[in-house]
Amino acid sequence: MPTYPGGPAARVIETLIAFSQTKDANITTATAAAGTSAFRMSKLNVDLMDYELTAEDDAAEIGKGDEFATAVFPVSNQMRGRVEKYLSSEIMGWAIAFGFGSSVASVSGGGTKHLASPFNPVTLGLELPYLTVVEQIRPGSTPVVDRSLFGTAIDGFQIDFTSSPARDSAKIVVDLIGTGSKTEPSGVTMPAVTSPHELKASSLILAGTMLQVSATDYVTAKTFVSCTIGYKNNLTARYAPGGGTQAGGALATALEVGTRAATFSAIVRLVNGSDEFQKITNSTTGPAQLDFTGPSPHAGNVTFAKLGWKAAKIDNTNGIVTLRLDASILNPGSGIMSAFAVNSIAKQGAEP
Amino acid sequence: MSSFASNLKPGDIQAPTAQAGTPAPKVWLSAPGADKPEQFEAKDEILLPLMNQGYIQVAGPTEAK
Repeated sequence: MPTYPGGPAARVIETLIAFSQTKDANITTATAAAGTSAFRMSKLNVDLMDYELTAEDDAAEIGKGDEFATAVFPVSNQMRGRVEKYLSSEIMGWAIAFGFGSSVASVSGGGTKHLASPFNPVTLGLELPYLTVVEQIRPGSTPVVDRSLFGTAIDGFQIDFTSSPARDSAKIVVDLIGTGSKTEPSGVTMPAVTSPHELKASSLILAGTMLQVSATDYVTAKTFVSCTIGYKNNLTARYAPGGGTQAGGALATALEVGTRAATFSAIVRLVNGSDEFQKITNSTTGPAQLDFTGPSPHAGNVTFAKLGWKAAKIDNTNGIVTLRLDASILNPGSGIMSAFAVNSIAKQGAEP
Repeated sequence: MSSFASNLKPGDIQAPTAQAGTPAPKVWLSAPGADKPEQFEAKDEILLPLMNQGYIQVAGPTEAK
């Protein structure tokens, strides 16, 4: 057997990953809970969190005698990351609680219902609840990666339902942004993996006038093909003066929501009686609700209070004539959307 | 049907009252700037307008430290 000075090369599949289940105390505090009540899970994408200490050089500066750089200077710390998973009640509750920023936990049918909706920045400020990401490869005496990335927030998430016999019939993608703050080694002992209770597309139930053809919902009418639900906070990292440094680079002092946006698109089969074009012509609007379930009591829901189709395009999906629908998400005054997940986790996000 | 009460206005929100049958779960919420939390029934149509106004969930008085 060959020997390696630093040990054998590590494979990405060895990565262990966990997140705070409830919010951190603040942007500069890595939660101690990461070691005791962290949400450890598996994921589909191979990417590790994209932490970067950016640096600038002096190539453009006058006075060196030529255009070539002579030195580099650390500038700032940044972090971005993505988690892709098959949709489960656990990841959905976590994503909506942290991603919307406002959620309430209550007992529901043998589980805990986490009801969430986009938070109100007028009263709660521009910052979402912060969380910690822990990544490890061979933690212990000879770690390859062992870091705690705190001051992280959910920039957005996307839920996809597709026509598939496999687990990929329902997926979620969660995008994270961090201040770049980190602790190495993390000092965290990984908990056991939280068993996911998956919510498959086959359980989907639709309600609301905008998800109907000829007064029958798309699922019942057997015309539903797929849909995508998206929510984006468009976070901006604020590097305010006095924010402190790490490894010579500035740290973000806040991650602030920008122009938030919710999206919903769907593909349905075009049939005689399809009235989507008429709905656009008439500026028809109405509610849309998607419910999906896993093993009892695990469940999920997304409700748009009011939407209208802004585009309908005749397309083909595997040779079948379909309509590609894009929605404008409207605010009737009581909020644009809500979502809930029922799982066995007592508290997620900012819930006390 | 949608459980999202789009026609519910802030003035419509009432404290929970005793009802026959199984009582709905209750949660403690705190209004922005309020020093005392209030208890509400854990129903979507009650909670969502409150959350939209900036109410946040807090531990109840018996759980408060």
